Amino acid sequence: MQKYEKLEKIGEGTYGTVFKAKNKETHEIVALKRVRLDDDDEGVPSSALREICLLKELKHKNIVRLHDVLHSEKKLTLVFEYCDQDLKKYFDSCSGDIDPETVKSFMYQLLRGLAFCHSHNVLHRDLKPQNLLINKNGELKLADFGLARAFGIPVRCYSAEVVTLWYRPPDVLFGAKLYSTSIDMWSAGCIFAELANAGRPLFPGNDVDDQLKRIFRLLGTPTEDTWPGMSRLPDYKPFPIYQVTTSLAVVVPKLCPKGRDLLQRLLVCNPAHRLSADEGLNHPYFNDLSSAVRTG
Amino acid sequence: MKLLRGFWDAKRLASTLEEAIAKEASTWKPRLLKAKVNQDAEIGPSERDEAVRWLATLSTKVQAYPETFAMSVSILDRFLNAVKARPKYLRCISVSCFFLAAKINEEDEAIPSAGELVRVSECGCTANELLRMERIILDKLGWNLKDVTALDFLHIYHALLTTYQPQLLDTYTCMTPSRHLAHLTRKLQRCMACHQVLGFPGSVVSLALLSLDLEMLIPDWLAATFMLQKMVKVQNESLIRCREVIARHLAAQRDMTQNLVYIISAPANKSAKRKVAQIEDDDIYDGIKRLYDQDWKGDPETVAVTEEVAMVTGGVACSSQLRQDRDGNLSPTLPPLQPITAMI
Repeated sequence: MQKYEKLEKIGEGTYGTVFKAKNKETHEIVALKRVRLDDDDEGVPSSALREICLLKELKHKNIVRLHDVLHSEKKLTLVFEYCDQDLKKYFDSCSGDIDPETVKSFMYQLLRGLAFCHSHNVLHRDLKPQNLLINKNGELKLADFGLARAFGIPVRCYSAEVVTLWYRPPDVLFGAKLYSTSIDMWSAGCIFAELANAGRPLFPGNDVDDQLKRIFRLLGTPTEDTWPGMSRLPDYKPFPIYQVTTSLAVVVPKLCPKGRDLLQRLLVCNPAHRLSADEGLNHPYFNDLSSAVRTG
Repeated sequence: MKLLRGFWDAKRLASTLEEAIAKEASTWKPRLLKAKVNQDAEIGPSERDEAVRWLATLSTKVQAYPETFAMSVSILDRFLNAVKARPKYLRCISVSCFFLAAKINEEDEAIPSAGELVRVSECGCTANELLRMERIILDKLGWNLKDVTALDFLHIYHALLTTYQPQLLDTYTCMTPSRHLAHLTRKLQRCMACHQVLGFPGSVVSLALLSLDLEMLIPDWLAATFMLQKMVKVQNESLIRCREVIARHLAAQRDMTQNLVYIISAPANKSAKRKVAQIEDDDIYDGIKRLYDQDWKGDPETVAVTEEVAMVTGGVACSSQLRQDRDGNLSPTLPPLQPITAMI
């Protein structure tokens, strides 16, 4: 590791330790993700391999840039552009208040990064505040593509063991293996509400059952009428019929009506009716978005 | 599954096609191996083809997706073009290519371990050697494993046909889009074991294969081919030459093994009632039965009982012919076959 000087440990990713480092020649600050390769292992971990292969093709301002891959006998190092913090840490630092403009800007950038992934036929499958990086210019970037995968035209069965519980959509909680871009849109909705509440998670469930209950209590329990095919999902089980009693205005009091409408359209139990990233970007909520964010 | 059909609309398919064409234009080059001068020191075209057939068997054994097989062949071909390797390492190289492709395409729970691959494939190398080879391949290819393959194009073409000409195979009551695609995929896999097709880009290979297939099935095959040809901007000459190579290869294989090709023929015949196909759908469809939201044309009961399958070529007992088809799963679920005289 001659080219880079390690500065400090930043955190742990899904499959490796992340360091802040400096390129000795250019003095550029980068993030190094280091993956140990043990002899009795399976070679390059599939998550690292997928992340590398996908990020090589996903070059966008709202997606973290992979600069280089260094491969030695005992370890693999991924060199990323450096960002100051992730959204989780940002929440911790802003002590309960994020101004509405920042919420709008972050949400727009999240949807823009996501729209790019989806148009390139890539699902992220692990969107959560820890995986969204923020730099000091207020730019947001999707990171950690360790669970991401490319999808094609023939429908394949994918793993239902994806997305961190709090951000996992109801169809996947019921064991759905045939899913598409809608899987990320649910997570985006959860993150939107969390942004609007300055870091308070929307559905902090303890297990799959509790997670579904929290969702249905807020949105109402779906039925075969609102969601045809639901009861045929692999892990489906009936839940009490909750009626919608709480308006979203109570749940996200600081969010404007247009914002609440966008949130409502993302948090739809039936994946077929969930808004797409492209549709989200064109939602009236973003009509008054500052042009610096739109073009930046 | 409305969601999935709605998702791949004409606009999205067109942009996916455009992106695939652009990517192919920037990365593709002919990867024909030269005939060998020194028998033991080089890997020649016939060794390469043998390795691809071996990978196809391995892929079937571990029940990998066709995308995994297609990617492993793509990695293998690019690697063999980048290095001079000795034939004795070919199995180790091939199985490493497959391991890499599986890690990218399969979900974690379905990726075989290095030890399992070594055992199942009987490649003759150790798991450690496989992992060392993995590193060499990654370094030589600069971690660029994903390439647009002929299979990607086949998927796009097929979806475009289904979108623009949904009535195309209406005379074949039981030829659902998924079943047709599974059939084409198997044919394409056989073509991959023919080094001559490496002289053509994947976009041309798949179009040639699809047009040959449609020619056997429908009178309007030329119009359908033209429609796609216009979208992909393939030259006539290239397409015709590729069709010749593929037709020759498939015919040669058929002669070699009595039969490798089948088509589904004969319109609905209510008297031939048999309960077939539905029980082991997944086997028949290669796991792609839910390609579109509505796979059955009409009433599922009627469709399931009117299937008749005919073999292209004649004579030999059907059961033995079918066993020779690469898709070993077919035999138990297909109804009796009727020899016909059609030629490719």
